[in-house]
Amino acid sequence: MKMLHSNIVFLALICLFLSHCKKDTDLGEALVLRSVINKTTLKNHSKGIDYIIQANDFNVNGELIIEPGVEIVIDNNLKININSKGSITAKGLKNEPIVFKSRQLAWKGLVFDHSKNNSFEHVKFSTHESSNNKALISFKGDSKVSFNYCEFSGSQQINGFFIGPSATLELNNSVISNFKYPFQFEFGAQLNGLINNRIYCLYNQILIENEDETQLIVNKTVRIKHLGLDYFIPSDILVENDSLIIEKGTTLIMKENTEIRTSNNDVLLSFLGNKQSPIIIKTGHEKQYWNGLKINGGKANLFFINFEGVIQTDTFLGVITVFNNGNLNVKYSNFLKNKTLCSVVTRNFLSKVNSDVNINNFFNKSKYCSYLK
Amino acid sequence: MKALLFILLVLSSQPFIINGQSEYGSSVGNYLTSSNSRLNPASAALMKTEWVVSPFAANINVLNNYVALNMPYSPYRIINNSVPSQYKSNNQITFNWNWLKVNSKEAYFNINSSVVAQGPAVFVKQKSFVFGVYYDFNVYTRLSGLPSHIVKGQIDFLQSNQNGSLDTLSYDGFSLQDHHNINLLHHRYQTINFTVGKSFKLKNQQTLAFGINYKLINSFSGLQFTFKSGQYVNSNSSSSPFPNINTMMNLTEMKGMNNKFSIRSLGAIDLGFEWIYKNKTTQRKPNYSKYFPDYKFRFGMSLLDIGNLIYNRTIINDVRLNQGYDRLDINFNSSTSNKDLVSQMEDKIRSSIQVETNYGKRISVGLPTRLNLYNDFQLRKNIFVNALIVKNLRNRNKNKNMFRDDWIQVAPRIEFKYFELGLPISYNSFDKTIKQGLNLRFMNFFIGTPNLISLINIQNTSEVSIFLGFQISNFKGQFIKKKTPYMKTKRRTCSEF
Repeated sequence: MKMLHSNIVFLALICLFLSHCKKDTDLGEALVLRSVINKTTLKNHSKGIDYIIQANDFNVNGELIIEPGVEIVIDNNLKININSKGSITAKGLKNEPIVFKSRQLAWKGLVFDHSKNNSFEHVKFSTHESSNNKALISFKGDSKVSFNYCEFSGSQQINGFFIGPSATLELNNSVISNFKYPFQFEFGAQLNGLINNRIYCLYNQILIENEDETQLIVNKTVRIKHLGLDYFIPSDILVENDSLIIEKGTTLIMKENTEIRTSNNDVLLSFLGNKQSPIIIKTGHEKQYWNGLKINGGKANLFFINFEGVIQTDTFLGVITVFNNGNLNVKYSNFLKNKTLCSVVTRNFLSKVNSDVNINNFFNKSKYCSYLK
Repeated sequence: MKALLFILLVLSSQPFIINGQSEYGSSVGNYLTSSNSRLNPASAALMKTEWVVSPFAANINVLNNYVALNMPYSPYRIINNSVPSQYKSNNQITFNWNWLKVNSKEAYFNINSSVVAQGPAVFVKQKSFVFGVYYDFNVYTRLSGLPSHIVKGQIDFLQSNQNGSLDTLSYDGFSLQDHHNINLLHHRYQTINFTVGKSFKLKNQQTLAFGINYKLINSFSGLQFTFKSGQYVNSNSSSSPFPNINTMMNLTEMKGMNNKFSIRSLGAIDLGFEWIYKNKTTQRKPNYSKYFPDYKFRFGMSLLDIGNLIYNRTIINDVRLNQGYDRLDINFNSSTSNKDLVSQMEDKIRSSIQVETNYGKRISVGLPTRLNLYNDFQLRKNIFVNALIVKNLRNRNKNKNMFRDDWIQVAPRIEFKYFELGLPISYNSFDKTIKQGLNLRFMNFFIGTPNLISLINIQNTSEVSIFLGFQISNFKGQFIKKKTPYMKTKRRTCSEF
C-alpha cells in the first residue's frame, strides 16, 4: 500500500511538472487580431507570439499603438493595410523589440495608403520565401512614415521598400538584409532621410521602377538625390514635361540597351555634379552597354558627369545626341569607356551645343561631331 | 439526452436569486472526505479511511428572479418517460413558450448560475498526513440589472412566434436617459487541487489539524459586459432641448491560456484548521473507533479561494458617450452639400463617442474568497448538530469579482457508517428567507438540496438547486476489525484479553 501511495504522489508530481514544461513560445497563446476601427493598443501579454493575423487582411482604420515586446505573426499571403484614417505607432525597446513576422512562408507586408503619422522604433520585420508582392513595405499616396533602429529581412525575390512618388519616408539607424533590392522607387519618389543604415541585399541599389513596370516618364519635376546607394534604371527614361534633376554624387546604373531621352517639348535636364562628387551614368557590368542620352528638345545642363558604357551601332549617334531644337550645355564631363564614333553629336541646324564642348570635357578619342540632316 | 437538457432548462428557469452554495449540506459530515476538503482542507487530515476516490460529484444552480417555467405536468414525468401524449409530437416532447411566466413585480432581470463538476478526486492517508489531488470544473455566470421589460419583450415575441427565433433588442421602453447599471460576468475555469493535511494529537484528548490546498487554475474563457447610463449633466446650450448623457459601455473578452495550467496563472489556495475535542462519553475502545467520529466537539475555520483568475489574453472595448445631442449641432447654410453635412455629422459623433480597444491587458478576476466558520456537536452517539457561517470576503461592487453570498446554516443530522440524514436550515443574505434543506448519504452516494420544498414541488416553485456525488473508500467494517485484530499480527494485546 505504501508503494501505491508513493506512486500516486510521484505521478501527481510528474503531471504537475509536465504541465509546466510546455513552451509558451508557440502560436498557442496568440490572440487573433481584428481590424482596427478605433484607438487600439496591443500589449505584450506573453513571452512568445502575442498576436496572429489570419484569414483576412488586417485593416488599420484607427490609431494603432503597439507596445514594446509585442510579437505579431501574419498568416501566409496576408497583408496589413494602413489606410488614410489609420496610423501605427510601434515603439519597442532595444531589449524588447516589436516583431512582425510570417507564420510559415511569406506574408505580403505592410501597405501604407495615404496614411500619416506612422512611427516605428526598434521593430523587426521579416518574411520568408517569395510572395507575389513587390516589397515587404509599401507606401502609396502621401503616406508619411519614419523608421528608427529597425530591422528588415526578407527574400531575395522581393524588395524591401516600395515607395510611391508622394510618400515621405525617413529611415535611420536600421538594417535591411536579404532582399533583392532594399528600395524600389516609383519614379519621382523621395526619401527624406537615409542615415546610418546598414544594407545587405542581393543588389545594394535603389531600383527605380513603377509598380506596374511601365516606362519611366517625367511629367513633372523629378529629382534624383544622392542617398549613398546607386540607382538602377531598368527601362528608358522619357522626359516629357517639366524637368529631370540629378543631384551631385548620384550614380545611375542603366540596364542594358536603355537610354535617357527628352521629348520635343520645352523640358529641362539638369545633371549637376561637382568636382568632388561627379554624377556617374553607366551599366552594371563592363561588358554591358546602354544607349546614351538623346535630347530631342528642351535644354540640358550637364556638369561633372561620367558617361560610361555607351554603345551606338548607328554611327550618327553619340553618347549624347542632340536632335531638333535641343540645347546642350555639357562641361567638365568624362566620355571614357564608350563605344561610339563621336561622344557628342548634333543632328539638326537648330540643335545647340556649348562652344567649349571640346575643351572643357574629357574625351577618349572622339569628341564633338555634327551630322546635320 | 433531450430529456436531460429539458430538465436542465426546467431547473434553470425557476425564479430565485443567487445560490450556488447548496453543497454545504454535504460538507459537514464525517464520511465524505472529498466534499469536506472543499469546505476545509484541514478536514482531509481527519479522514477516517486510508484512501478515498471520488469519481464524480456535481453541484448545479442556474437560477433567475424573473422568469419561471410553469409546466402543465410535473417535470419528473420526463424522467419517467410518462409525459402526457398531448405534449408530444411524433413521440418527441414539445415545448411551449407560453409556459414561461414572468414576475411582473421585478423591475430588473437577474440570473446567477454556478455549475461545478467535481472529480475525480483521490485522497491518501500516510500516518498523520493526508495527500489529496482532485479536479474541479467551474462555470460561473452572473447577470444583473437588465431591465425586465427587455426580457418581457423577448418572451412576448417568442410566445407570438413559436419558431423560437429572438427579436431584435430594440424597445421603445429602453432609453439612455434612464439610469441603467447592467452587469454580466461569465467565467469557465478548471482547477487541479493539491491538498496536504496534517493532524496533531494534543493533550487532553484534543486533536488539531491543518490543511492547505493549492489550486492550479486554467481559465477557459471569461466575459464581462458593463453598461452604465443616465448620469445627467446640465446642458450648457440653452437652445438645445436635449440633456447631456454620460454613457459607458465595456465589453471585455478574456481568453484562457492554451498552455494548460501554466504556473504563470499563479493559482489559488485554500487554508484551514480544525480543532477536535473528545470526552469520555464519546471515546470508544482502541481499534474500534478508528473509522467513527468519536469527538464531542469539532470547530473549523477555513479561507477558501484566495487568489485570482489571471487572464493575459484579453480584448477590452470601452465605449464612452460623454457629450449630449446638443453638441451635434452642425453648421448649415444653403451652400452646404449633403456630403459636407454627413462629414460634419461623422466628425461630431466621432468626437462625442470615444471608443478604445486594448489587447493583451492583464486582468485579474477575484475568485469567490470566503471565510467559513463551523462547529459540530455530537449530542449523542450518531446524533450531531452543525452550525456553519459563510462570509463573503470579496468586494461585491467590483464588477469583475466573483463572489458567494453570505450564508448561515444549522444542520441537525444522524450519521451512521452507511447512512446519513441531515436537515439543514439555512439563511442567506440575498433573498433573506429561511429554507429547509435535506441531505442524504446512502453508502457511498449522496444527494441533497438546501430547499426541500423546491425539489418536491418542482412544477411550480421558486427555487431548484441540487448537489449529488459518489465516492469509494476502503471502508473497513467494524465487525471485521472487532473480530480479527490479532489475525494479522498473530498476537493479542493486553487490552484485548
